[in-house]
Amino acid sequence: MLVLTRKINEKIIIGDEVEIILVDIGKDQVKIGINAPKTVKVHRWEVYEEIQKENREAAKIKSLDALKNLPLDIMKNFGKKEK
Amino acid sequence: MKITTTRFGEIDIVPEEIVVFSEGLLGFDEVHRFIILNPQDGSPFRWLQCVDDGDLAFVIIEPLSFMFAYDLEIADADAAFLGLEKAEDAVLYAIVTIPENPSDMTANLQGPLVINAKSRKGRQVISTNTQHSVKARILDEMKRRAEEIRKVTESLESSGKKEGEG
Repeated sequence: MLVLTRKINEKIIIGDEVEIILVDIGKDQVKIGINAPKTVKVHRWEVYEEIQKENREAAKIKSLDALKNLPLDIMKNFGKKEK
Repeated sequence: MKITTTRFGEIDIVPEEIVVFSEGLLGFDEVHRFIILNPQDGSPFRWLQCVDDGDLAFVIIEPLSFMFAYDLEIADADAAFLGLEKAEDAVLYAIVTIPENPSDMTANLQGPLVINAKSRKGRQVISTNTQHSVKARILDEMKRRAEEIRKVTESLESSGKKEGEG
């Protein structure tokens, strides 16, 4: 892993188009500005991780039989119009 | 085209109905082709069955079948990726998780699936709306929805705007 030391307002460029600027330094956090083309996805890492985790959990479902135990009126309240 | 699945055995699918998630789903980036299986019993739940891996399937649901409103802003990058020209072409699904107690089932509203119904390209996007939880409780949302509908109906009635419906 490349580790760079930067001061406030100093930048890093990744590739030709992604620019990262160190905006502010607090006691235990830093504020980072990112300039990237709209096609580049930028998210906090935790969000990615959380969704991955949720997907793995969801993939464990083997059948919908458990839903049969729900009260029937609950199922009726789903919004889909029935034909 | 026939595929073998763990949950449904051998099933016959129409190749034209395959939805391609070229990046896979988060945590499942090595599989790309999926098919949506609709239940015959009028249930709002669907299966997103992977075509590349018969063991892999997700339960999915359209947010508006249990929520009063679901406002998702599709980022330009996502729209470009999917080749989405009109909002009407976008079909939204949330992946469902069912824990031991099915009343606690949740839908992932933060990482919804957006599918371009025309091109059948899909992507799991990340919503920037902080109201969208990874674990939105489906039954609670349904109660909220019923409450909202009740309010709307009441306000229509009290303002005397009872118009005949077709």
